[in-house]
Amino acid sequence: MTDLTAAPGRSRRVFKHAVLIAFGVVMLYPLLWMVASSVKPTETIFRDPSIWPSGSTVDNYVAGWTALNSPFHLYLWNSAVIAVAAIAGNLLSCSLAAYAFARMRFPGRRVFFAAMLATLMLPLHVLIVPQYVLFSQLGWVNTALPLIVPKFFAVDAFFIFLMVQFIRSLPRELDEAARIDGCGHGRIYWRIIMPLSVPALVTSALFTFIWTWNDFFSQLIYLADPRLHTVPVALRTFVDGQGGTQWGQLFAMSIVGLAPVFGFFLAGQRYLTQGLATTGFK
Amino acid sequence: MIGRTGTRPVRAPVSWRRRGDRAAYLFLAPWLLGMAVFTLGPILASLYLSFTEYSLVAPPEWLGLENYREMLDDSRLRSALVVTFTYVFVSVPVQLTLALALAVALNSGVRGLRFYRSVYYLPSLLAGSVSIAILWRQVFGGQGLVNQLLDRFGIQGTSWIGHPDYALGTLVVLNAWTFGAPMVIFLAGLRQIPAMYHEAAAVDGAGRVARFFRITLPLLTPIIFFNLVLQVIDAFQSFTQAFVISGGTGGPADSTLLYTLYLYERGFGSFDMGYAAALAWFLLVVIAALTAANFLLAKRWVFYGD
Amino acid sequence: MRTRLPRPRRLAPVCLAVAVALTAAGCGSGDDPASGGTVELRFGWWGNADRAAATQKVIAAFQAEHPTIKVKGETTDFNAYFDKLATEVAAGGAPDIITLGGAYPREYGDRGALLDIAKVGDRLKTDRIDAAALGNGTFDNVQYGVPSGVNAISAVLNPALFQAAKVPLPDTDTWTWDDYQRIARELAVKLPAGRYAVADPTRTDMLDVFSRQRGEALYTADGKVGISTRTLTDWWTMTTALRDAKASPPAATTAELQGQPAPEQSLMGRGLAAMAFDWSNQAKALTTAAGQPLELHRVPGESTAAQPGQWLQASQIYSINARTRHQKEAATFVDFLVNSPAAGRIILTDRGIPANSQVRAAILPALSLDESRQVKYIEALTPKAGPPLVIGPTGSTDTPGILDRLNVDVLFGRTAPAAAAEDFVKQVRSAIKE
Repeated sequence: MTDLTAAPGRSRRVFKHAVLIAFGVVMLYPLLWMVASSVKPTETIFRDPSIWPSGSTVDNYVAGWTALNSPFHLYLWNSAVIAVAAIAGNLLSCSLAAYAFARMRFPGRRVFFAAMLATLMLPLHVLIVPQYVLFSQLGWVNTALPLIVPKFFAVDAFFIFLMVQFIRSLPRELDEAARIDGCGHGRIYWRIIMPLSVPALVTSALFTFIWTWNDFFSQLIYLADPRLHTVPVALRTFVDGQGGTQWGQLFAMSIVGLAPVFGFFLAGQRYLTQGLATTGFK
Repeated sequence: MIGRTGTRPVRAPVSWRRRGDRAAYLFLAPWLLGMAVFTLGPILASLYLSFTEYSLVAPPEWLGLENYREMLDDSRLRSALVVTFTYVFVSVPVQLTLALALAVALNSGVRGLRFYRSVYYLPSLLAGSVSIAILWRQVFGGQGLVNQLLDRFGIQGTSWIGHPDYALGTLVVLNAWTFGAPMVIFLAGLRQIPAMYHEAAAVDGAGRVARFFRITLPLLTPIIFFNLVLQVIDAFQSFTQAFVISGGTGGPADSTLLYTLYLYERGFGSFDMGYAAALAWFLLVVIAALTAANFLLAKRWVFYGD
Repeated sequence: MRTRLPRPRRLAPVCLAVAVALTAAGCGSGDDPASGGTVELRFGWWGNADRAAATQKVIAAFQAEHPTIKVKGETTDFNAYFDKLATEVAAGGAPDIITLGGAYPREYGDRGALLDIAKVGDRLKTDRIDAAALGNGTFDNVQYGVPSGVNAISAVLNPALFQAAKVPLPDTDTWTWDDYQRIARELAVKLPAGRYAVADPTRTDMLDVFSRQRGEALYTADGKVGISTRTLTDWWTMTTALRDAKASPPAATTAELQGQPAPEQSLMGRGLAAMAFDWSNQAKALTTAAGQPLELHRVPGESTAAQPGQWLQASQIYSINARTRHQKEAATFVDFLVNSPAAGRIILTDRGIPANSQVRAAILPALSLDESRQVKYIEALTPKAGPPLVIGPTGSTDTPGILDRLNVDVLFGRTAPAAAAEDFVKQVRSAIKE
């Protein structure tokens, strides 16, 4: 931003912002509609589909909070516990595996890498039943273990691959220098690669949080007890295809459920911008 | 282009390399264990089930290749393949181009970067939720936003979700709408490019555009490649959005019957999990072939720092 | 990079192990009888938050009467419920008491997942339950479940729209399909833009009604396709004529609604259609959504038909898991759900009009206007209903999907009614492996 004072630069910037904002409004229209609907009485949501509420009310938030078996903060808490544990598991186990794939040569590397990618390619729906059988044999059904423990064993190949790609884009001169200084792989991983991979780690944490937070089906089948329910599972109990869905409450609580993820995103993105460019990497 | 400069280390002694092997397996240990315990079993089980008739309720019965033979003259499978390939080959380039363009625009020193990034990311947070089905109808339904806009110009729209010719298009738009994930990955990639490269190039007198094409883009190729591979895999398995929007039917008239939707319908709707497993393994072969092709082509255009 | 698949030779032992695990995974649903002789039951159902709250109250009332039995409720929405149930049944971990509906009792019962109610007949009485609804849970003389309540398909009319168009409400005791079409055309001309005379009437239950009126049925008693292509052709000839007359909405609108069965989003629920066919227990949700009083009527053609096409349907079925360790306790609980006036007074008409006549009488004073209208409708219909419905055979849960797909083709003019009729019969035959 060296041309702050240049006049043609300014009009170009205004134009740029106008385009970015217009684009943002289009992007957000459905969301705005949801916010508007969350403050309308349920009966009028579909009868009067305009985005401007004729009268607004917070009833849906108040009623929605306690409409289910337990107050909504219990579901928020349950979701948060699972999401935080999943982040810890993913960051640790996936970065270890990613370091090995990206920086080490060992027999079987290509085969393992292919196998790792292949695990991404089988549709979830045929794995659900055998997985459920496995976890029920372990006696883990009705606990959060099936949702957490596997994360500590790097089952999310997506993140391994993500980190591999990031680590491979780091200049290799760095670890070679460290190796000459006598560092082993453990120290190179912890002292050099991890600090430089903050953007990748934050990205992984962010996606783990979001995907865990929004994951519906596995949480539904493993957490049968209503007291263990998470946000997406709880939101479904507002809906009934056979009649009498409290849409206003559903939208209101959807927004409440969206808030923590969005908050996490806002907090995380500060670290995203602290990549190499700003940490003064020389 | 940045070459492999610097001193090449002297070839490491054998003992160090062997210790290196051991260290590598230590690093891989959690993943190997997880693979053996949590992943491999269910995957092999699904392979076994693909050779059986399995209604979920009763124990599986061995069928041999019958399920795979049935796939040969399954006309709904054929239409699901057409829908899925169309979807993948249209929506992946659209989404990635959009994500890269926005990431680069946002990375070029726009004021309020965080604000825009958050706004553009918000839809992606919403993508899988129950509400999306309703929200999407507010945009593309008979009385939705699109038709209200068209109405201003005197054009009478149809229900875009309800029309078999356009319904898949609305899914492509929905997918493009949630470009947040690849955008964030692109942004992180852009941030990870060491500033020294840009500084060096600037000293050499390279302009903005030249720097983008000669430094940013080559250094970003591992990330572009990552997004491409993953989005292709992901698009083939696209499920949730098509499911919530069509109420799980793949309708109207199978026009949005993505492969996994059909697989799900056979497995859980028709109690035919054996056939669903066969469908899954066929899909795996298709995706693996395309991914392998992607990796082969990558040698021509992906640049790694190592 | 080559993606190598693992070699089959190494797979064999693993497959075997997995197969064993899959088949052996049936050993009960977990809970050992807890200390102190208390038994814990799991009860699964689908539905919204209101139903969940009411059901919890019923559970509390039951536990007060039976201190040694504890019931844990598990609930989610309709679609997810059945996916979850299938997964749990596969792993042998389904709830002890399972709520089912439509053709599902047969899908599960025929495959041995449900307990024969006769085995626990001493605990679970069915003598006061409406016989027709009870028949919905019976196949090959085995009782796989007990109905929670009774339901019937009905013509839902919106009097406000009739009034706006200045068209008199039909005499639904005697109306015929010709009357229905004539009124629809008249409404189409007189209703303001954006309002429709009818919502597209095609749905499997209406095909049941329509074919039963002609002495056929969607399925025969021995599990085959019973509806003739002639009947199907006549049906689609009628609906395409309604579409051409703009009495029913454009094809794309009908198709859009197929995937969204929530009453609030239907044309009737938004006050946009004067006539539609729907289940009687939807009346309350539709009325609330429309914000206008709606009426339930007999469907056309009943009085002049060879036999009445309407029937009394079990709205939901309570079944007991064949693998439960607590058959007796589960039976006691189901007995409480369907036969206890105390439970009835909490559930009211949420799961259909109670099938037990005593319970029905007990709840009458507590009902709202809409709910008592439903009861009146069912009671008036009971003596006029046709023979009990033949529930579809295994595989028939695919039929609604097949019908929806062909219906879109017909409405968009891609297939002629006669060709769609042939196709429908062919596809359903293949789904039920006839």
